[in-house]
Amino acid sequence: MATKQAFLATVREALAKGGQTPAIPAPEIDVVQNAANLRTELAQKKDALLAQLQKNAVLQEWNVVTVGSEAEARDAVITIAKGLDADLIVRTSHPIIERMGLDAAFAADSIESVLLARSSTNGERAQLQDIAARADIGVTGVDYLIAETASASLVSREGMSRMASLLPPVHIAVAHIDQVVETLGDLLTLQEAEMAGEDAPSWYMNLVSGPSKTADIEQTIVIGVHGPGEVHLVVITG
Amino acid sequence: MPSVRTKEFIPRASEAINNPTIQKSLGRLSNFRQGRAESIEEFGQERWEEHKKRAQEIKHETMEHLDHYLDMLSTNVERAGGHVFFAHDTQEANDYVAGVARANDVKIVIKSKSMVSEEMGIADVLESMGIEPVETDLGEYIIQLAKEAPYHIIAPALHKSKEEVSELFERILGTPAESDITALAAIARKVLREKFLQADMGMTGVNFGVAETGTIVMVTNEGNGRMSSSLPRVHVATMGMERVIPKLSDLSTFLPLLTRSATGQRITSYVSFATGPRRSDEEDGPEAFHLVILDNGRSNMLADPQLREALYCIRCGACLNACPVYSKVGGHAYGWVYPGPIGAVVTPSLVGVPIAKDLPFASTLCGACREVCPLNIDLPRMLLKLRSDATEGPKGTKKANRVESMVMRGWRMAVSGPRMFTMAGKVAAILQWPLSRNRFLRRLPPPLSGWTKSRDFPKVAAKPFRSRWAAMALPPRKEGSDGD
Repeated sequence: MATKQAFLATVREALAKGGQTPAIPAPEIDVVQNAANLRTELAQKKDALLAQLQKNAVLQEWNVVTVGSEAEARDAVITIAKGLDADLIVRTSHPIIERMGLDAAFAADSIESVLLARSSTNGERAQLQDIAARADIGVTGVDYLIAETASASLVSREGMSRMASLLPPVHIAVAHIDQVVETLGDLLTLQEAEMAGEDAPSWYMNLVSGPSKTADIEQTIVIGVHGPGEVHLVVITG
Repeated sequence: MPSVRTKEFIPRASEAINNPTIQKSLGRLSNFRQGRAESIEEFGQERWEEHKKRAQEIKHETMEHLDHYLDMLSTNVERAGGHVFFAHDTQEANDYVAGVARANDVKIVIKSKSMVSEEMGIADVLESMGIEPVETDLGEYIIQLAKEAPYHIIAPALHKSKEEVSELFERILGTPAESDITALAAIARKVLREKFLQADMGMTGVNFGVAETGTIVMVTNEGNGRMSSSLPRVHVATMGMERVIPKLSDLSTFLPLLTRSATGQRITSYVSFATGPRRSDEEDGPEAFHLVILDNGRSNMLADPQLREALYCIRCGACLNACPVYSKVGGHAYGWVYPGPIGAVVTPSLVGVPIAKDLPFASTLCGACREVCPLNIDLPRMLLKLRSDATEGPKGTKKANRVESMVMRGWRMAVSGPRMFTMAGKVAAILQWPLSRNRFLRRLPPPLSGWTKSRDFPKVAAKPFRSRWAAMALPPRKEGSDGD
């Protein structure tokens, strides 16, 4: 059995190094200050970023709706759900989603809406997976939107199930214009600053940049293999 | 480790060349080439070059201090509550994964695409334990049903026509014949969805292992990577030790290089970042996370200054698409896990030069692979080095045979001086007379007949260029204008 020490000794030998490598001093970066500066920068070019996002989202095969308020966002989501004849919707509990008052609106149209929450036992896990797999649509908030690649970042945490954006055939992501960044680099800068103060470094994030797809048979693109085949992006500008 | 069939390069290459279905599939590689070119144009050529340069610098730094970054990676994975296992070889890696499966009473394993897991042959190991391993990438699923090795690093079932896929599904899944590709994908989605929901363990590869945060990054389009790392109780990720990168921010350099080189995409549909198992406040996710870091001969490449840069490879597959040899002989000829120019370098280094000596010769040294490589890896130089190892080096068993050595000695004599060269030209011009047709020698007599079996030799000119040059009336050169 290779222990870590024996393994690293082999690597050192290959590098023709004697003992333990002296630690390379990590450059001193104030991640929090960096993030603050970036936020100011991004706020100044909000409109340009939105335009860039809208253009790239279409290229990445998102259906994009831009709305002025949370109430309009709710109406947009309901319209999509009714258009798809949805019976069951699963959602996460992002503050934006909560403020939209989706549950009441869905209930008014007799669409069942379930908040995917904690599965601490295997029984519950299976149950939640089952609901998410049966759902017609998953509605989620996002952490950030990357304009350059039309990517929505979703960090999984309390109230933010991994399954809502993965198992249903349709995903609706709702975001506010202030969440738009320009590049992947920007996103990582902000994300690192958010994690800087946390004790538990355990962390799961997905960048979603369009529908699930494959080209594995004869290089012909097929949409919706394992993940959602239809994705909507609702951006609130007000 | 799966069976190594590198010794069958020549017969398997001939087989592919003579198979019209495979040649048609290989013709589709032009889609990849075009996608890549357009994507780089969109990104901006200058910006692309900057990214390439930066990526090389990061990889150089990482390899120079690989022990340090691996130590940092494993420390941070453990800090996040994950387990790390360092495996010298595939046997150790397989034993560990088998142990994890056994300890968790696993019945079904869902697998996301991973070249390292192919290298390990873990699916066979699990199967022998009575566990059902299910490949979930559509291409991988197809070749798993066909019991074949991946044909291409990013398009494992590149060689299969839709008719062959339909026949395979019909035979194994009992589904009706289907000529529509969307419908074929839907069959796989349905079958695999059941497996996803039943599986106890998910296995994924690792595109990048971020040392600074202990995060593994997975790049996928179908969503199977997300499923495998989210739904089952246990997540096991396997990576070659060279997959480590120092910082999270390095991804903004590497991700566009990978996706744009591979499929010409701005970004893949999904990029997943997993750091340890689910955290306590999360709604779902795996209870346990294991990372297996594999050497399996990579340290030999690290130790060899002439091969070290091959460890910079990010497995985009662009060199396969660009290679005139791969584009004809296909993936299976290379006889192991990694095909194409990068395979011709990596395979001999990992399985041993003596049994894979044909691979470095499967190249025209045209340099197309290096030109498209996002890390600018000098594959042609490495192929030359491995050729020399195969024939002369300490690792070589294929000492050049006596006839070949004689011919080479004769050649050296003939071309080393003008007198011998002129004479050899005259002799050849006379000797070739009975053999020549048009401008080519189609068949040389033994022992040279092997060489002309698949090649034509250009005829020696009746009047050599040297004498034509001498006979030309040239204007006198002007003073001082001879340099350019």
